[in-house]
Amino acid sequence: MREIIICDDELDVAVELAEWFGRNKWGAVAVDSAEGVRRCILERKKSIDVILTDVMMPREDGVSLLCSISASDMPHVFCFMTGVYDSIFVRVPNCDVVFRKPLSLMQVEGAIKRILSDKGV
Amino acid sequence: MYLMLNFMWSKYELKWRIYVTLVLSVLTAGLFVSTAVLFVQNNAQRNALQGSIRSAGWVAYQAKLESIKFAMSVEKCAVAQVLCNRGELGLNAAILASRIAVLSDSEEGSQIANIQEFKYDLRTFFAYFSALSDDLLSQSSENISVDTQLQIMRSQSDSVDKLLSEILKSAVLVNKDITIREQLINNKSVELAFLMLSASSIGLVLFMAFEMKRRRRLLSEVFEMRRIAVEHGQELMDLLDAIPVAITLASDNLTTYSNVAFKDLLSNFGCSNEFLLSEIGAALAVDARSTSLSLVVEGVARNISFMSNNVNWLGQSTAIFAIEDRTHAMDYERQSLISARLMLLGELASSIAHELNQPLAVIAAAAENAIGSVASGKLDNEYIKKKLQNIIRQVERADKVTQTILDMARQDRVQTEPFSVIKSLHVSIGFVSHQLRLANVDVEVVIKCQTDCIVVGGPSVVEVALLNILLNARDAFDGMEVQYQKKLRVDLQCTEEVVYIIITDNAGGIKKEILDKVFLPFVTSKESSGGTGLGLAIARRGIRSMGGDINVQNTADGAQFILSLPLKRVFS
Repeated sequence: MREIIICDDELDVAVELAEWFGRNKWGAVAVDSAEGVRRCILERKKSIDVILTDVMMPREDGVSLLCSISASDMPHVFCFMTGVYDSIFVRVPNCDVVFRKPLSLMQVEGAIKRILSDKGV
Repeated sequence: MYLMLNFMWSKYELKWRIYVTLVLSVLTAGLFVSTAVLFVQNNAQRNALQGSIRSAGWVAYQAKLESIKFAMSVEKCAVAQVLCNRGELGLNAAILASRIAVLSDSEEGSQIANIQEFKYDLRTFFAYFSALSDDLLSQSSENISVDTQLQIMRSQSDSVDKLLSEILKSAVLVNKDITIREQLINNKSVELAFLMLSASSIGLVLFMAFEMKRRRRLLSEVFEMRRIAVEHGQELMDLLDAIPVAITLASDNLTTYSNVAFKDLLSNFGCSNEFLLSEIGAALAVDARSTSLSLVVEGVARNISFMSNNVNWLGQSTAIFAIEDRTHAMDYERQSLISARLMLLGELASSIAHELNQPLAVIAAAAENAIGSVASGKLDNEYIKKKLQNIIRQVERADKVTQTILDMARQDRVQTEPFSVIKSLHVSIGFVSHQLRLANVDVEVVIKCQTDCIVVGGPSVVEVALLNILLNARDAFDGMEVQYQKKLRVDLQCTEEVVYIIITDNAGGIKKEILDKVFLPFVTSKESSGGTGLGLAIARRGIRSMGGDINVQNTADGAQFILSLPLKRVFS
């Protein structure tokens, strides 16, 4: 079972995504802050396959979260989702893909699976 | 008189002052003439009196002389009978009797001071000598019985001589007294008094003439000043004609002057000045602080701003109205406001997109989850219901976002509608709340007003002003450490007439160099981030058009914007 952490300050979005992934046999966790993601990484014994996070969040945004994760804890796939259309996020290193809200859950899952496959995970 | 003149001069109109001066001059001249006439008459009477008194002395002297003559005739008869002439003696007695009568009863005789004391004796002697005269003259052929008659006549002659001597002495004393008094009077110089009277009169006349001349000079100066004032008045009217602001003067509801711009304005509007002034008067009657007015003239909407005041114009209390046709200016300002709103919308575009995409993301995900649930064959009605309810909540949320955008983008139909400042405050804060939240700014709103704080104007004017201030505050926090506790406090306070919105941040304040210029166009501290420097300028102009103002000051750790607006008065 693949593990995914979904982070959005709008917790409804994260929960809906987590439900979708959960239904499709993913181990999914929904959190509402970057701090929640780091806590989750620490608490989980298993490595995290995917982190899907919102970019614009209070206190700490998604880019800052990405930069703060150590190489050992880095998941196989790191994805952004954003409601703000700005190409700057595309050029963030270690970011595999940026999803634009509103999301198609099926497409998101498909895209993530393709990246995992491409990376041979 | 001088004081009286001055008093009258200062109190009454010019023509009355002239009349009074003339009357006083005539009266003064009359007084002088009367005094002179009285003096002359008095002098004449005195001379006449002196003459009569001297005549009295003469009468006494004549009587005394006749008594001596009579005594001589008696003595002559006593010396020699042949020398005695009965007729001559009788004639002397008759003359003496007549002199005594004159002395006793004539006006001249009565002038002698103590003649009353001698009147009885004089009348007795008059009777005696009259009778003696008659007796002597009627018996002219007979000799006088010498011894007896002569003895009696000598005795009577002595007695009357003594009496007349007394009277003559008294008359001489009186004349001497008169002479002494005359000398005294002459020494005291009646002429001096006359000269003094003349001198004072002449002085008065000269003074009056001098005063008249001075007053005439003052009068001519007044006329000159009036002429200059009229000339200046004409110059002032020429100046008013050259001013592009419409100006009219009205006194007692009658227009006394209108400049060219005012006539042009009336011509442009196609209305009468009475109509325009009555509309202004009606607006002032409703609210004395009114400075603007919307009119529909000939089916065309017009906006004017006006100022009125009472002035003294050519000695009359006059109302002066300065009127400006703001129709085109307000159109321009409206366009500026729309531009400002659109600029804000552009600046907030990403935020708006985020605000809309968040509910859309939830809706899409919830719907997809519901479909996924159905597709899995495990139909869970509760789950589906939960998803649909979530979708409805998010739709409502998205609707609020779009409503806010519409509120922001709307064009106010009228710029003078009553609206709640509190509602505008909520709209503005709601619009930027997400931005502020993302910037980790804690927003605190404290409303201390008991009412809805209704003001008159355009709601979007207030909202644009608040958004500019709030977004400036957000930008001021840029670059600050994450750990710094960013605070933005919005206070809404009311007095009876004014509502204050006070926005305070702790972002370090505005640079001193631009603190007093932040409301000028193109002044910005955000050159690097592309600030145009127009936001606060437009905001202040809009707020001032509503009779309010925006001011800024630095606090200990940030900046404080104070926005004030006049509350709408409720008239019963």
